[in-house]
Amino acid sequence: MHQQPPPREAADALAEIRQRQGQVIERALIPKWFWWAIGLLVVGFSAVVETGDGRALGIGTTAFVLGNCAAVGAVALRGVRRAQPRGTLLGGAGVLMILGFTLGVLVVTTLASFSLNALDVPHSATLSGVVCAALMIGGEPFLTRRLRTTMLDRAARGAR
Amino acid sequence: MTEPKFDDLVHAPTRLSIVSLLAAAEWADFKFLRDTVGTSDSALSKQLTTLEDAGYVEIRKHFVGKRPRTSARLTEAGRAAFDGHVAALQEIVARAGATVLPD
Repeated sequence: MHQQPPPREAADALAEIRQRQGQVIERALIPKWFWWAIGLLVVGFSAVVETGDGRALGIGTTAFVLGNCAAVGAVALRGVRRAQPRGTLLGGAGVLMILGFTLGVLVVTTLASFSLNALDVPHSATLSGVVCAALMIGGEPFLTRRLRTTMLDRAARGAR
Repeated sequence: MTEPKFDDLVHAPTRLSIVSLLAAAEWADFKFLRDTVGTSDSALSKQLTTLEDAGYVEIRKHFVGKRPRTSARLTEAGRAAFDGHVAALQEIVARAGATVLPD
């Protein structure tokens, strides 16, 4: 018959489990550089569109698409290479948080774009891109923190 | 509700770290486990073999391009043992009250 550990040892073991699960969950979270990269791409693309120059637009569109693919690919490969966090850890609440964040960024950016345009503010598209980038970069720590907590709690409850 | 069941095999320090990592993952690369746990190749192999023999872990060897790659995942039995072990630890801590919560 096995002997159970004293309460202090059990508490330390639970802390170790949470820490280790956090190390895997960290790999599921989108890194800071990704938000900066997408933000800069959006601003750059908006600025290029606003120039109205066909050649610049062609180069800008190519750079925008390739940049997005590279950023998304790098984030996806980051998880696949070393450890694939369990999909169930995100849960419905996590999915709703991501959708809510995306929707929030879209709504505020669209409203800003229409408002700036209606007010005849110069470079309104570029400024809207800046708003979009600022929302993504500024909101990222909040989203990441909430997702990390949700996933850790689900891991602790043995989400399947 | 998971039945609390203390598991000596899971509780050993290095194995607890390995199983905890695997419990949050669909699968994990051998190098990731080695680097994260901070152990040697041979020590990790030994622990993984122990877990595999118990039916808790499935080890997969495959090639990515020309490079051999080893990865591991928790089996259903391993996940059940881990969940039961966590429940047992929580029960021990709960019985003792808040005085043992880690800093």
